[in-house]
Amino acid sequence: MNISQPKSYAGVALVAPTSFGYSRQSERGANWFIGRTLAQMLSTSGLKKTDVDGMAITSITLTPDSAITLTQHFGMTLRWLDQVSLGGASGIAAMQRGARAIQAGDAEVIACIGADTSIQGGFGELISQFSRFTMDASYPYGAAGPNAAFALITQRYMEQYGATREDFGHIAVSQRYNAKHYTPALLGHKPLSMGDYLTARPVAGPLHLFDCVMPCAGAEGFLLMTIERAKSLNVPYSTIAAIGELHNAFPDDPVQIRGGWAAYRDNLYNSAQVTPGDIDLLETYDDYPVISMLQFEGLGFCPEGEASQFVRATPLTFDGGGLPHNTSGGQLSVGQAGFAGGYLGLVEAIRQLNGQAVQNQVSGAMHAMVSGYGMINYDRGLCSAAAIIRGANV
Amino acid sequence: MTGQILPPKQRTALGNALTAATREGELVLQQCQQCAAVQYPPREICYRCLSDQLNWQVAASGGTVLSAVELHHSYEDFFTEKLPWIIASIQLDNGPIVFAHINKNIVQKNTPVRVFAHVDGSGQAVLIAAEKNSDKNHDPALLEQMGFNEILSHKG
Ligand SMILES: [Zn+2]
Repeated sequence: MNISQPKSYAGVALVAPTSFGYSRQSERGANWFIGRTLAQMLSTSGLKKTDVDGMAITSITLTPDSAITLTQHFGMTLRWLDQVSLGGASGIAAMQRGARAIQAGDAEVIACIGADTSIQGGFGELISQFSRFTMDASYPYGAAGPNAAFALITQRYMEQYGATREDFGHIAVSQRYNAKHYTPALLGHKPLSMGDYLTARPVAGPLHLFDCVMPCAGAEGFLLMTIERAKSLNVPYSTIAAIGELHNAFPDDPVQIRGGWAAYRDNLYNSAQVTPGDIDLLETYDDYPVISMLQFEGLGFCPEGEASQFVRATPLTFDGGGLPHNTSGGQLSVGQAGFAGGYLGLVEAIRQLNGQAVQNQVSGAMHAMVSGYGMINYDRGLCSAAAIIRGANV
Repeated sequence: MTGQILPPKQRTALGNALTAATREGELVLQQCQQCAAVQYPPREICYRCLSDQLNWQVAASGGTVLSAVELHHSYEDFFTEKLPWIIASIQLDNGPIVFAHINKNIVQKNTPVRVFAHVDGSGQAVLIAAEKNSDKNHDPALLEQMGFNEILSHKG
């Protein structure tokens, strides 16, 4: 598929990366997570609520409320509003739509927030009615949410390319190390060895406990504004060097062993004028380790089918000198706060490039690749997105 | 059947329509009257030409295993008490990819299979993958294991 190169995202600043309220369960509603995240972003950037004239919201537990009902809930008058429901691609997609609005002058300050609460038993209900295809063609077969679909994908990937469970384990174990240096990570205090990984209880096919994310509550957000505005506020910021998206890519592949990234990665690197070797950290969407491998391949860090060799040869920890990957621990070690999981990698990348990470700061980070993926309607994830984020001093 | 834990019953209206169109042991799928595309899961619109002229028709049952796995966890008691439970993704010879219940002796990638619908204990059609060369429209061992033997005995 030939995708034309998009226009530049120059002039837009990414400000106030914020991760908020992570807990395994919460009595609070999504409104609370969104509102408190917004309040925290305003306070760290010295803005008033009335300075915000645009908002992009992602949440699956906000129902029956929506982005528009939040305006009344929070007492805000906005001239730009969007609700982005692209699962694990939501953060990048919200940034893309919001950045164009900033460039066009449709809004001056846009708050992008992904947030979800988690109530006892809520997950089972969510997965049994996730979509029409799910209800008719996967849930009746015993598939517990996306686990079965990803077990089938992982099994096929292993057979096709000779990947082993140890290869997936490298990803999970490295991320747990990173999470130990990132306070909000819900599993960061629990060490994970390769032995722990390999002997964990089975879930579905080749997937075992530490291949699966833990559902939780939490929120992620950032602000979009012009670079001039960020400078006048005297806040750290980073910029957008490139964004790509492709949904329902390669529909004729019988099993999903590649996502949409390969179709637009050349555009990403051309727009940003960098190569994979210039990328200082990579944040992939890690609902399962095999999907991170598809992103290593699709984004050009290694050839198709060779992610196993890549992870064997490349340290993935934030301070390992290889390719720092999912530097906050990713969803596998932080927890998956519903659709906020689709913002987690992006918010972490902004934090890193703004120099606002704490214990897990990648020193001298100038370029980050972030990718998103998601919405398991039936047998595969339908969304894909990726972006290159650049430090302000590059 | 009294006191038995039943398989998941909930479907969309289209899922219920598929059950209504299914006869035991056959594979019934949607076919577009405009472009002849065969599709699954059921839709309101043809995925190829966007027509809404879709009929339920008996489809060729041949397919091959793409991938198969044992489930060790389920949110449904019907499966939980029978774990591990095996499901497969199968590419039908006429195109669509289906999830199906399958026997563990035919789970190798690329194994040729035949796929048929069975009306389960909840009265819903589910797809079953059986050995390609089996001359029956059933996989008796699997059906019995699923708690569907009452249907078989009805059929003699
Ligand atoms: Zn058609």
